[in-house]
Amino acid sequence: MGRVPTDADQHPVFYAGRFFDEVADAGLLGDHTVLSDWDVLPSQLSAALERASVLVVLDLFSFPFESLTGDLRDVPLVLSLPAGFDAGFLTTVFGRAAFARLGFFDRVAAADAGVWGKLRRRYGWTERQRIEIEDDRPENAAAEISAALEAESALLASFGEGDYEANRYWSERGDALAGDAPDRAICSVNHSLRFNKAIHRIQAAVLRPQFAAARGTQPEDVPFDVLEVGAGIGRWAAGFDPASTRFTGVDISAGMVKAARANFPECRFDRLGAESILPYGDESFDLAFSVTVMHHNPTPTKRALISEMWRVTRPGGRLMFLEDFVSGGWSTMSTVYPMSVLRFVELLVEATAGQVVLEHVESVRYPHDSFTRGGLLSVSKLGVAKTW
Amino acid sequence: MSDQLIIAGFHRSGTSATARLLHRGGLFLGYELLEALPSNPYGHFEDREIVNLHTRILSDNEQTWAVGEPLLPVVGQQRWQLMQRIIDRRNSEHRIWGFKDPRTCLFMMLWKHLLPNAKVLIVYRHFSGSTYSLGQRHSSDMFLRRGSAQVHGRFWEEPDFALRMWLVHNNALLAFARTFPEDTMTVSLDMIRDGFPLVWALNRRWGLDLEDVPVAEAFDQSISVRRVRRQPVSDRRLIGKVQGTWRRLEELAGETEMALRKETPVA
Amino acid sequence: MPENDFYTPTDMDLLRMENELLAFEVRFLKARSGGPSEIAGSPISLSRMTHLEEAETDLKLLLRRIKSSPLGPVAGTNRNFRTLNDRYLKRSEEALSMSPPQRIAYLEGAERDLVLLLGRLARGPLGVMFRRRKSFRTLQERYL
Repeated sequence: MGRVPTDADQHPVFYAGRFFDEVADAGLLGDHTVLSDWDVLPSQLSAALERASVLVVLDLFSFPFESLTGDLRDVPLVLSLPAGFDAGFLTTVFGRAAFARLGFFDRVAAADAGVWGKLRRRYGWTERQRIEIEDDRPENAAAEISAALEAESALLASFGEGDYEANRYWSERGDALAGDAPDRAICSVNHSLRFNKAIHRIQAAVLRPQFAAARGTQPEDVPFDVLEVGAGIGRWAAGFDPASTRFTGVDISAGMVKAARANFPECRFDRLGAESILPYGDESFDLAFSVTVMHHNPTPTKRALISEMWRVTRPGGRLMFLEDFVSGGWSTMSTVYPMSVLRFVELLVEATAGQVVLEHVESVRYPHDSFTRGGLLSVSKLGVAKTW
Repeated sequence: MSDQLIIAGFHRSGTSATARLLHRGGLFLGYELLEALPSNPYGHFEDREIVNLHTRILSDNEQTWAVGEPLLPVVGQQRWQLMQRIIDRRNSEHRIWGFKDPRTCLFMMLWKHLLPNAKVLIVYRHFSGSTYSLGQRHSSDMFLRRGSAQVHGRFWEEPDFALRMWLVHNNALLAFARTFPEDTMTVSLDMIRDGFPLVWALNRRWGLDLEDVPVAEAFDQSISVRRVRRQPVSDRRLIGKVQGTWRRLEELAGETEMALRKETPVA
Repeated sequence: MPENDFYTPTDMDLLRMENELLAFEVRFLKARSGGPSEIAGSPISLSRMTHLEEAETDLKLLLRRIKSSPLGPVAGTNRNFRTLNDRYLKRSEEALSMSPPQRIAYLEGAERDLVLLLGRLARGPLGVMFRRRKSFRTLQERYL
């Protein structure tokens, strides 16, 4: 496989299908490509999407969703709902093929608020995932979506000046991005949405089985209490079924917390203070986890966070860390404190006084790297419950 | 209701002599006690079943008893079940029981998980004494081709191996003492040699009802009394860590002595 | 990644940390599958490992029972019995400090020796007597 395309050579791709002529004449802004139904034959789809920053599907009926396999699943999608159909019909026709595959990084362009509302609730999408359009005719929808995408890729307010200090940096970054471009707050602000979606998919493939294992044999009617440290705008909240899980997220940035609450009103999001004390009682959660948070913080903060995560987890519950364990000190602008897995294990044993046993270890390799950088560690907490 | 007293200390720290003392005092230490043999030279009073269990868990985690780095173990279901069987049998047959195995240092929290009321007696010795003793023994064993060449080799190939072992084991003991101060008593080998009334103190603190045995009976006073040697070290970053651990152990032992003074009527 | 095929790692730390991470993962996988792998390379499962350890324990138990039974003195004159006695009872503590591959080899030997011993006892002149004992029959069921 070649290199993952960088932002510079990526642009939105519009699949117009049967409406190719109308859309091609619509005068869409900026760099873009328009595809007809001939262009998406299986043998051509890969080439057609190679430099897609996002794929806007204007003609759902004729798009071969099942051909989006392999790396093509990394392309963020925008689905434009066809006019004049109710939620029930759309679900029947597109539910399995299209809607069910939409995740946190994908969006839906909808003119009808009622239809959107029903689908959103059914599939657990957030309000943020809607691109509101006035006119659902393909060429006009294309123009509105194009304008929305152009606006999003505009330059952002700067943040993170001066020496790296973890709490301040992540607070500022979160606050700067939360309002305008919360999607850029995920993973890597300097990379495209497609890049970030790819990273998320890799992480999800590793985390999902572990979340299930943590849930274990707990009966369905007993709520599973989950805490994420460094939850951002809540991208992992989307991975839990709200019917059986109570998700809580905590973050250092007020902006992120606000955006997360808007995205997932049924979940709880709190602001974390500078002292790294989690605002929860002992033994409140069945699972406490962090994703790419520890490696951005200095050792005392790591130690404090691990200790706090241990405190708020129930005995028998799990602590999970998906972090980078490989990094050289190659950049003065780096926001990473290099930390090897053995050093992290030492810290983990220290911060928990050894009251944990190892449940799972898995290395995580990202597609743009020539080496294995990340790892998942899952431990369970020993001890007898102090609270009922 | 049974009481449990675990004797925990690094290798060559006086745990064998302590075990002998408490064994004489009536503490059940196991159905089959090992004798010291070339392959397990410090094995006095070690419960065969428990040593087996610890060895299996270590082996599961690609370790031998010579652990020099902090251990985050995988503990399989069958190991937990075996631990529980060991516990159940002793609980049903003995009013008070315990065990001694230096490998326990690495598994304190596992035992505490299954025995929430267990008490722990920590025995420690200055790092120079333990590491010197370990180094001495392994060089002669390696020369005489006794025991595992792999393990012996580590003491000579890896710089500061014995010292790091001392650090890892004693840090684990300190972590336990910090977490369960009510269930821990810490004494140094020197303290016991100097006549600290160990059995009396244990009985007093936890109502164990062991028979008070004079220390001289159980302790071979002719053991080298040279307290502290100079410690060779290759990685100087260890110095601060080792000294810190030593200081904290001495503090805990100091607390034990102070508690005793409060209890003893003024002569 | 550079265009050409050859490159010099400029960051030794990167390599060391990656090594540590992957080695840690392999160690975990071995531990989860039941302990250290055989020299041949395929991992040994936890249940197999436990089975081997129980075979060793059962063998030792059987040897002790024979020793302390009325047959003891007679058994002691048998060279094979003396060898087993020496290997598994007298020098058993050596097993505790073996390296993982050595230990597996030792345990597999114990399993083989147990099977042989049970077979001999069952087929020998006193076979009928042995088979009457429940504990012997249990062992037979397990290993033969």
